[in-house]
Amino acid sequence: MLELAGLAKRYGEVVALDGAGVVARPGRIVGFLGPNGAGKTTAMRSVFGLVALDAGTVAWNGRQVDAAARLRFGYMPEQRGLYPKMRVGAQVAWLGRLRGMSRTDAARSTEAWLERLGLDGRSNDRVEALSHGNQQRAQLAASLVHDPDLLVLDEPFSGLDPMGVDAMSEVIRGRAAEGATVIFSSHQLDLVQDICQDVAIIDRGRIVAAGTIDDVRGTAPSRRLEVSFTDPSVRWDPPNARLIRDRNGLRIYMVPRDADPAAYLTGAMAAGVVSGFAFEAPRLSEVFREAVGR
Amino acid sequence: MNFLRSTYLVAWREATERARSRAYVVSTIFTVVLVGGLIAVVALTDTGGPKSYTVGRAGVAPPALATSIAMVATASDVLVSQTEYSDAAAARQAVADGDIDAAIVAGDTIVVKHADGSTIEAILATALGQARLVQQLDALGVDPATLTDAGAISVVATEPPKSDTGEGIAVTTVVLLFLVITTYGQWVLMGVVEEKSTHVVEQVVSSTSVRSLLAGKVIGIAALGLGQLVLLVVLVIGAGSVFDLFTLPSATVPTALWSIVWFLLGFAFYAVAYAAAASLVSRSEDAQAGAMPVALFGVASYLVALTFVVPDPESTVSRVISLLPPVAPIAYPARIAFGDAPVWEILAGVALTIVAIVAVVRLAARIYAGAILSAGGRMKPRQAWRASRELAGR
Ligand SMILES: Nc1ncnc2c1ncn2[C@@H]1O[C@H](COP(=O)(O)OP(=O)(O)O)[C@@H](O)[C@H]1O
Ligand SMILES: [Mg+2]
Repeated sequence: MLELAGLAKRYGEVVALDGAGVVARPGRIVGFLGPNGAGKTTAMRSVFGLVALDAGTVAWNGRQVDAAARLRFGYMPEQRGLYPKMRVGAQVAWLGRLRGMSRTDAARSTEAWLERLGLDGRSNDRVEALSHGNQQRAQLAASLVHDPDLLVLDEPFSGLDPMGVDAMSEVIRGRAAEGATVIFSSHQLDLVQDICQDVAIIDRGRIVAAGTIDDVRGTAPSRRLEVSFTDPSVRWDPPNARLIRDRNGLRIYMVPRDADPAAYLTGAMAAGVVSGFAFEAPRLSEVFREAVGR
Repeated sequence: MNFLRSTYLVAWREATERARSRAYVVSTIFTVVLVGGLIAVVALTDTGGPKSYTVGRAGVAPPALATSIAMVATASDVLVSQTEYSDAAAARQAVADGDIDAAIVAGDTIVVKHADGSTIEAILATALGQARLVQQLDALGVDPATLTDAGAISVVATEPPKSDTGEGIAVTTVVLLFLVITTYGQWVLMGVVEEKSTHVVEQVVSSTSVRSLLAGKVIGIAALGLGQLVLLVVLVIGAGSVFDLFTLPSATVPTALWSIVWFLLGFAFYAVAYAAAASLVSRSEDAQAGAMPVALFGVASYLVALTFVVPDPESTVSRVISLLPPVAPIAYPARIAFGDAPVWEILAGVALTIVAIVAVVRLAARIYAGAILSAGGRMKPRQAWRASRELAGR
């Protein structure tokens, strides 16, 4: 289990992290969400000791993370990079050895991962000779070669085509199914909803929502009110409601969580003929937008 | 994973990846050609060895002639072998045929092929004069030994004797060491910048320490430089002694061996400084500008070694300058080439350089640790120093 608690980091005037805490559990996948500049990368780098935190703790299985623990971690940095002139297979194997694998284990695992990621036959190519998509795959192989217990992926889906997205999702799910702890950052909320069990939403260095997707949706301060009128021109102004969509008579509002659905239904029926009505927890994307206030 | 293992792995990667590169192969060939050329020049000009002549004698001659020729030849640093001929005609014929270089016949004639005032002509004329003098003194009843008794004349030296070794070896060594240290220092520079500009450093450092990465890189590249130097030393000494292609000054072997020691010391000093300079920049275009201070130190040391130390290796200025750590690795081998540097001074130079290396490594490693992970443009050393205070333990 990975526990980040009370992380704080300033860069001069810029506050990158302001007390953020995140928990990730074995066999589960955490989606780490937040707008640009929210502090995701800084938090993920702190797991590898790549930032000097002003405050906060990073613990793995209840103990402060140290160099030995990190050998069992895999990392895909936001800024991708491999040695451009080194051969793919040699490079992945070398990174495996750097994390404590024997030469033969590293070679065997490299071969297996390159094959699994569709890079078999490219092992002797220089990294710079690979296409962009294949470089991304090589990068993933580099973070996975030692079958890490914790996988930290910073924006793993950025720049991938749909096939790449599918392959990446499959690998992430596969590692979690094998018992690894996985955390990845993303803007692509649909993907997160598909892949993750847990989410943590960060904004301006603070966690604004965290838990299982259902929890986060359920405990959100708003509810989603959906009303369909047969006549799109009906005039209805429900109290305490913010209209977020209006199309062909289907209107979607965000209303307070403790509002009374019956009162809205009564009001709507008084305004016009209602053909559909729903009062439910907001979607993840709506929770996200509400949480980050934009 | 401990520090040693990861340092070894980093060094291994550096050495094996670069040994295969075209740059290494080209630079090895270039250095071999360069040094081969320099050594050839040294061998041809500086240390051709004493000239040798064969001389014939025929007919009546002053009794002391043979001894006299030998003495004058030795004094002129020339080897002369002598042959007796039965008559003057045979001796003349031998000169004409080129069997011998010159002959003295009848005690008053010197026979040469071309009378052009050559060394052997002068030697024979002097020797003949002396032999006649001895003969006449003898006739007067004076014992020539009392005149030529060396014990009666004392030689007083103002300076200790100079050894035979040439400036050639010293210059070669200075040029070579400067070249090798600078070339491989630049490799460290470009390697560090490459890691930073391609962002691979983040992946590597996520699973090893910054210090392993620095140490491994310097050691790996040093191994390549060392390989090249050893190859050169073996080639030069091998060609000189085994195949007898040319005569090397007697200090060549110790100079060559010491050069290896000084390469390692000098490289440690400069490479670590290059790495620190490189870690402060983020783009390869900025690398040379960032490394300017280090490169200047190198060039200055090189020039100082050539202008002060090589012409007068044992002057006070040379002795003091060559102790200074940035100059020492380049200057000391030159002094050693002259064969006159006292052992205690060499050891003092080594010790001082090691102290300087320790200081530079601590300073540079800290700047490197603080800067290597920073994003954005150029960083100032002071910022990096502070940043690494925070990154303690990485
Ligand atoms: N090395 C750094 N130096 C200065 N500012 C930084 C540095 N790293 C991050 N920041 C700033 O910290 C904030 C958080 O950045 P980051 O963690 O990269 O956010 P995210 O990954 O969520 O986009 C941003 O405002 C960013 O500009
Ligand atoms: Mg980021």
